[in-house]
Formats: sequence, structure tokens, C-alpha cells
Amino acid sequence: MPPADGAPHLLYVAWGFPPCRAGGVYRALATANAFAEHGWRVTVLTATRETFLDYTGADLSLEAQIHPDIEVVRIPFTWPAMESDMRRWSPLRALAPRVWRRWRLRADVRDFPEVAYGPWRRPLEAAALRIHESDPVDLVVATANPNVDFTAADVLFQKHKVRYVMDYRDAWMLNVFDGDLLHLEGGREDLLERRLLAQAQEVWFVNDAIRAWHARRHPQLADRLHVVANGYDPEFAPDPQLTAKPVDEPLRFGYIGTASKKVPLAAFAAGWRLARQRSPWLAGATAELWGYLGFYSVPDPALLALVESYAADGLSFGGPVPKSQVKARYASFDVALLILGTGSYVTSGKVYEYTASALPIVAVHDPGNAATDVLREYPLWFPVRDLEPETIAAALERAAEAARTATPEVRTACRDFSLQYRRDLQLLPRVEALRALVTGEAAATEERQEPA
Amino acid sequence: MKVLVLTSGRGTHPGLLATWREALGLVPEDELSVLSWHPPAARLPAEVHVLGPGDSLPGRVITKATRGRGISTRFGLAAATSRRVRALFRGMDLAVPMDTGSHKAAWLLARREAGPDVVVSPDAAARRLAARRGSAH
Repeated sequence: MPPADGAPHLLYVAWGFPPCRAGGVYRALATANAFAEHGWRVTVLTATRETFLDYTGADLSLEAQIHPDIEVVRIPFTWPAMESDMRRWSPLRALAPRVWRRWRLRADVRDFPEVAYGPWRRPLEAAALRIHESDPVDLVVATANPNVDFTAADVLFQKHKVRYVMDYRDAWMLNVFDGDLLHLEGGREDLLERRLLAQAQEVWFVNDAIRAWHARRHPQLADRLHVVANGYDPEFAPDPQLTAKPVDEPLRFGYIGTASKKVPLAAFAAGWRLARQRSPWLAGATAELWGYLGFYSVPDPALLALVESYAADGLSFGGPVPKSQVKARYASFDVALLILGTGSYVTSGKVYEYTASALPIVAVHDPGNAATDVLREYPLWFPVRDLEPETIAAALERAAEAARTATPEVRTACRDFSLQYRRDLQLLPRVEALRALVTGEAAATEERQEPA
Repeated sequence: MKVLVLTSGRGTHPGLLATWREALGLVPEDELSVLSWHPPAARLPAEVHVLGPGDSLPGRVITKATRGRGISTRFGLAAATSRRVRALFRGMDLAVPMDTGSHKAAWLLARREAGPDVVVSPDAAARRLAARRGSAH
């Protein structure tokens, strides 16, 4: 839907926007595009391209996916700690690096309590005010991380009463990995977040565990807190496999993702060996790990050694998969392996992508992981109640049997289940509700049930 | 391209040099030189300049004058006061300190001599080199 005359004007604030290639960029891209698709005039306020080319690495192909009607306003972002050009280093930095680092940390949080990003507050606020002055903004959606992005929304609210949405990719106060607080109760971050939350029109979270945590902490705001799950991007996700492969070919189990040391690979491998030795369904089967072993491009030696020690059992590591080949890689699997670390508040983006495959999914993770809530109703979901090899082996055997025997109807039900997690559908109810808010029109999806 | 790597570490060996060449995205035609505080552990397939203990003047003089200082300071002063090293540096397209102990040397040389890009991380250096190659074509 092209923007019509009088279309509401959205200011979307995201430090990480294409060509940035960091993980959160897909959510940012999809959110801005969703508003543009649904008739909003969208201005994106982000950092200059050089920020990503110089500091984070860039994926230039992502820029082609920005909706053509979106106006992108880029402002400089300086990141002194990441400055690699030594000709720009001050004498203090070069000659007394420890003194410089202490000074830099203090300078970073002077305007906003966020190391590295705090100094962006003033330029961001000035840019937001300029944009509003030249083309009045009806709504701001500001996306963290970094949290400094919220300051653009705050300044337009303070000076012009422009309503805003806070979109969290993780959380500000909550450590999503262990459930502890990241900052002091009553400290600068806490007070700032409380003020921003109190003013916000809506606050979005990526899963219900994080939303519920905030609802308990801020019960007076509960009705403004929403889940906008990450979902999957159809253009990158696997195509659904609605038929089983020929019975004379051994099954291929597959994992695509980053297997850090928190991922229970050792437990999985032990369970895999047990299942493969005793189950006819797994005769000659292989388990392929694709992506990264550890957080770096070079595989973690300990994890690689673990995988190689199970080579005789059909376990292998295939390395990174370029985005353009992800679909083909999934198409070669008969069973998807979802091997995740523990984290009640963490939902791996892979979960949604896995459901799009319509394959049996063996969920090798602590049942308390937030992925359990996502997959609970998936027809070919094979979870484990603990990470004992026997338990994992039993789940692998049941999944292998399903890979051979699941009917096209069941696989179709898996495909249908996955549709709710298309990223655009996650966003649609909020986009329409906010349009109704700023235009006074009734929201088309107001009566629909929100997706998880 | 002419590339200078600076290192204050001990025991630089051909395998490490190969890793650096790969990290910097060098092609066989690129000339790699090494400015090191310590002598390498073995003969390197590169032009090597050693400044630390055991080298000829002025490194030895500087070492004596700055006794008690850290290696990075001694390395930095030795590099910045050596005509030979400064001439070498001027002729480079890119200079990359490979450890924190060589940061001062790279920075002091950059203050005194125009010429090469001086880039602190191998990833950024590789990008800078690629950009130089692109603009050269």
C-alpha cells in the first residue's frame, strides 16, 4: 500500500540499520518496512554507512531490501574506542592508554548511561527535532539496543508530545541469560527506564517471558506491554518439506546456528551415539552441524574436537552457511536439530525459522528455555525433559520415526503452524493499532487474537 | 602494496607471518616487512628490522637511556629516532601494529612521518588495503 496524502509519519530510530549486519538488523528492517507497506510515511534515523563499514562489518545487499518509500536519515556516530586509524589517536590514548580508557568510560556515560553509545544522545536528539520541524512526526518507534535510541523518542515527547513506542530486542534492566538485574535498583538506568516506560504508548518485547518480567515489575503498565516476536523472514526461511524422502536413503539430521560453549553439544553427541547404535530408524543416519562452533570464524578447538570424536557416529561440522544457501541446506535435512543453551528469557531466532521447514524438530535444550513456549503446539516437536543421553536418544528416535512416517497432512499442519511466526504477521496487529491511534480510524485487526 | 607489521612479541616465526598475511588479505605480490623489538625465532620470508636488545645503534642507545621503562616505550622511542626505520616507514602503503606493545612505535612514527595508513586492527587494516587496491584500479 503506497503512502497516501495525509498518511501518518513514523520516525523509526535504530542505530543498527542496513548495511549493518548485526543480528538485530533484520528486526529493524522488517519493522520499518512493515510500516511503509501499510501506508505510513517512514523516516528512519540511523547511523552513517561508514559506522558499519568501519566498525561492525556490513552486508551491502541488505540495503536493497529497504522499502523504496522509506527516507533514511543518517547521522555520524563516533566510536572512539573502535577508532582503528592511529593517525587520529590523541597523545593521551597512544602514550597513556589506561588513563585514556578511564577517561573515555566517564565521557561515554556523561549524557546517557550507556558505554560507547552515550555520546550519541545529543546528535540523535538534534536530528529528531530537525526531522520533526521539517515534517511533523505522528509517532516514534525507537529500537534498542542500544538504549540511547530511546532518547530521540523522549525529546520529541518532551518538546512536542509526540507519542512513542519502545521496542526492546533484549531488555535494559534484565539480564536475559541469568534473570539477574543488569543495573542497580534505583540507579541511573533504572530511573531513566521507569520514566521512559511511563511515557510510552506501547512497549514491545521479543517473547512473553521478557514481557511478563516487565509486567511484574511495572504492573501499572501491563496493558501497554506487547510481544512482537522476531519470527522469520520468508525470503530467508526454509521452504516447507511436505513429503518424506525415499526409504532407502539414510536420514540426515541437521543444525544451523552458532553453537557456543553454552550449547549442550556434548550431551547431544552422547544421546546421538546411543540412538544411532540401537534404533533401526537411525541406521546410517548423519547429524550435520552447520554455522559456527563458538563466536568466531575459526571453530572453537574444544568444540571441534568433540565433534570429530563422534565422526564414526556420523556427526560432522560443515562450517558457515551463506545466507543465500540457507534454504538449500535446510532442504537437505530430514530432521531439524534445535540444540540451545539454557535461558528462560532467550528465544533463539532460529526457532521460528525451524518451524517454517515443517520438519520434525528435536528440541535439545532445558525445558525452561523460552523456545518451549514457541514450539509447544508444533505437531512434530520432540522435546526432552532433561539433558541425559538416554532422554535425548529417545527424542531422536521418535523424531526419526516421524521423519519416515509423518503424513503430508501432519507436515502441512506444521507448515500452517509456522505461518503465525512470519515476521510481517507479528508486526501487523501493532502497525494497524498504532495507525488507528494516530489517525482515529478503527484498527482492522483489533478483533484478531495477537500472535504469540 | 608495501606493508609493515610491527611487533613487540618474542619468537615470531614463519607460521605467524603466514597468519598475518592471511589476516591482512595480502596477495603474493605484496611486500611484507617486519619491525620487531625482539629477534624472530627463525628466518622469516620477509624483510626484518630488529630494534631491541642485540640490535645495532640507535636501538641499543635508546634501550640504555630508557632502562626501567616498558617495552612499548622503549620500542616506540627506538623506532621514532631511527632514520633507517623512519625511511622504511615513509615508503610503506600500510603499517599495522600487531600487539599493544607496538602501538606507541606505530603512533610515534605516524606523528613524524607522512605516508602509510596506520591501522590498529588486522580486520580494519585488511579493509583499508582493499580500499587502496580499489582506488588504485
